Amino acid sequence: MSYFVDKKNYNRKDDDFLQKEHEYALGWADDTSKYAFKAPKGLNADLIKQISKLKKEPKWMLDIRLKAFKQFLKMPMPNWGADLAKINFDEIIYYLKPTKKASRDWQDVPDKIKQTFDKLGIPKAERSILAGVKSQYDSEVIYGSLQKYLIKQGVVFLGMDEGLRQYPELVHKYFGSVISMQDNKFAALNTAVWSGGSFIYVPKGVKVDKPLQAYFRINAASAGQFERTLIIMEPDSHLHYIEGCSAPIYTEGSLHSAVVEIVVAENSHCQYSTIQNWYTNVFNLVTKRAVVAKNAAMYWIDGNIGSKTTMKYPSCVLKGENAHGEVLSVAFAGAKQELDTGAKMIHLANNTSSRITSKSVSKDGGLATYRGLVYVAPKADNCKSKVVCDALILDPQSRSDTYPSNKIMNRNVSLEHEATVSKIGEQQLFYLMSRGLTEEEASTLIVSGFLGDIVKELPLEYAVEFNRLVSLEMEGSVG
Amino acid sequence: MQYQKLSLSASNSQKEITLLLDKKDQAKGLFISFIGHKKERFQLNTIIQHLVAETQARVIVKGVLYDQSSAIVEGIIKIDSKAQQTDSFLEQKILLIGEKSWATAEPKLEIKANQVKASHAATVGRLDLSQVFYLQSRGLSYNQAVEMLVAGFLNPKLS
Repeated sequence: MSYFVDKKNYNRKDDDFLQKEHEYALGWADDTSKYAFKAPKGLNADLIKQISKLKKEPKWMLDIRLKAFKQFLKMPMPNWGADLAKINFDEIIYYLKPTKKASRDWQDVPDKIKQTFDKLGIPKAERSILAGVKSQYDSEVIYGSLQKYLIKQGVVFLGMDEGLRQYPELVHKYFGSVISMQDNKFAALNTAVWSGGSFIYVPKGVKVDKPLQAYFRINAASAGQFERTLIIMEPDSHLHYIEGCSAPIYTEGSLHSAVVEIVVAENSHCQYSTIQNWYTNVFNLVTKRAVVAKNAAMYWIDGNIGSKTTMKYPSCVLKGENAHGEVLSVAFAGAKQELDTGAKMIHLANNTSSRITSKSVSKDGGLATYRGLVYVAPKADNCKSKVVCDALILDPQSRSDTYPSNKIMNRNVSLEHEATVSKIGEQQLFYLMSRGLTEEEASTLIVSGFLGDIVKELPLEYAVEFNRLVSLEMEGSVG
Repeated sequence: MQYQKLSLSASNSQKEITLLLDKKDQAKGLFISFIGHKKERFQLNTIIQHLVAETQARVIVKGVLYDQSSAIVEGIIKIDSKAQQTDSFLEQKILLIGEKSWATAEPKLEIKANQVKASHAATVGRLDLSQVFYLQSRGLSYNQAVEMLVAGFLNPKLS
């Protein structure tokens, strides 16, 4: 995570610095006693009513929240995938409000929070190539801006709470339309206590030429983060949205359970990129899904490096003819980490195509799992799907699993699936070492190359950050 | 490598097969095929389990589904942490010919050792229509052409 911390003075040879990096670069936790509102631990209907009241929400939203809370209590924990037994729902703080109102001007942001943002380098990032920045500091949007020319074109980029206030009809129409509260226990939980996230609306024919960015961050110990993102794209539009995550050090486990819904209308093109680097005590359980209409395309770029446990399977429901879906998923599981990631492609219409590329590295006893689904409906003719999963295991303690499921209900189909698990090639290592690299440098180079696909899809700043993250993870991996 | 061959039939359509590799330098190959007609349903699970180091396994599953027949094909490669230097491969290929035929293919991997080569491949699809056309242009009827391509699909050269 060095990129945001000390970009200028970064020096690989500086041992002290690396030592500190190893401890975790974003390792600070705030004293939460200064927050404007901090909910007690645990969840009940009264707290939900209180959250809704504080946010001055319309009644229909409160009704949805309460209904979802009932659903959450009713639904069982998933009995597959990662071990979630350690989550104690009564120990989590479901809502935190750091300052009283969202401020647009950087000058108005309180010093304490500004310092944290400075460490993360957000204003810097904004000044350079990013079109708009929304940061979620704990549960509320504190600082956000959007360049004027986007506003002129009618693009809306707001915090989800603001989006609900300003565009209640749109939110009412699309909220929960892609991922219903019955979908899974964590989607229900999110629907009940959601706070923050992004609301994006791209009008017909508008091409957003620069990526929009949001930066999410958990700060207070034991805080839950339940952001809710809704992206609505009208026909012929174009969008690239980037979400970055990082969390500081804690003593107790935290829960991050987001829901991301995307509606991609005809002829539109949407790319959603994430680099996730939660601290290694965070449970990251996220539901992400897009509905893709005729001739439209959806790309999920998903990088997972941090967290204790991740369960995340970005999905595309290919509903219109010629729709295309793609997922590029990269996971790096280090010590005590379990990254259960993958993708789902649901082909419902003729001539739809999809591609899933998954790359994982496991190291120091980490477990990386690919779990995916390709479904071709009986009435969907001439569909094509290709799934490629590659895994590297770096030491004997680590583990890699692959659980793909291909359900093909139509004969006019082309489905290909392949997966390989292997180690770093001895010949490659030998060649690089004969050129003067140490074993560690050579391994790092090979791993970076193995994960290289994701780097090509990211804007420069993120690509650099991702490469730094990989080299930091690889420190001390040999001998 | 020697391949053991097995073909499933309608009366023997549910099968779970375990390939256990528990002796050093062991190499096992298995070729399973089935042809489904009418409403036949095949259910197959192959388990390849590597318990010791330096073992090798190949499992190939090929199915052809006519009419409304269907297949649920599962398979897993499990490599124990002690089973270093293993080489394992699982292939599942299903040809859908019947208009209402369907299949699921689930090739899985559970790998706990790092000095290994483990991979799987699955394909589900129909006959290549350009190949059918080529054979028809040489004077074969449609049915003959399909039959010939199916025969070729089911009888690969194993080495």
